[in-house]
Amino acid sequence: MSTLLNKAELQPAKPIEELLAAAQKKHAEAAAVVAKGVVGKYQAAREAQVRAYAQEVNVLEGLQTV
Amino acid sequence: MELTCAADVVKLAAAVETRLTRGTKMNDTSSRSHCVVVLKLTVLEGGSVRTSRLQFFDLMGSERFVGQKAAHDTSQSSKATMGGWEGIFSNLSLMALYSCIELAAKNCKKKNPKLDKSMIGMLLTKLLTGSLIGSALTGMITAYLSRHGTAKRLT
Repeated sequence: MSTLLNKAELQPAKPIEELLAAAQKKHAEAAAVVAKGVVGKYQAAREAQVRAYAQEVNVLEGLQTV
Repeated sequence: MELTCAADVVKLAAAVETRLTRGTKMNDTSSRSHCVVVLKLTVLEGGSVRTSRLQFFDLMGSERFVGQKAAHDTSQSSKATMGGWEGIFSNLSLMALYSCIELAAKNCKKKNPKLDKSMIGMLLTKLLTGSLIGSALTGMITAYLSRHGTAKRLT
């Protein structure tokens, strides 16, 4: 591992609208899958995905109003 | 979960503490799974947003199955107990991670380094892609057992 470069770089800043639209799209996709129902443990994973994207949308919407 | 105050951080820490441990022959409170905490940070810069991730990995260690320092009862198959299976899966995932690190170290000076497709499918290596071939700053703390059986820490 010591031979790896390990050079940190800042993530590029992106327009908030672009990120919000992407997060809303992913949230809608995940919510549709949850509504349809998935077999076994994947349902819980998809529900977690919906919660995560909902949070992301919430945070970005909050930042938009700042 | 969204972290908005100190109490949320305590809740997060409490969730991490619920990680399963089980006694083995080498460690009475041995972690039986890898534990990964991902913190996503969002910063507003003008009209743009910069998102970063802080990832903490506490990996279950590799386990021996033969010899005096075997973690499990060697009189029966490792596959006979849950602890044995946990050790098998831990060794497998750590072996895959080791292969990925080797491959990444070999390819790190290439313009567009790539990991082997079969390895990128594993969750652990997928989460560590930023460290292996990306631009994430990475630090590692290793705990190991010395010859005398006392744990030492390296940074």
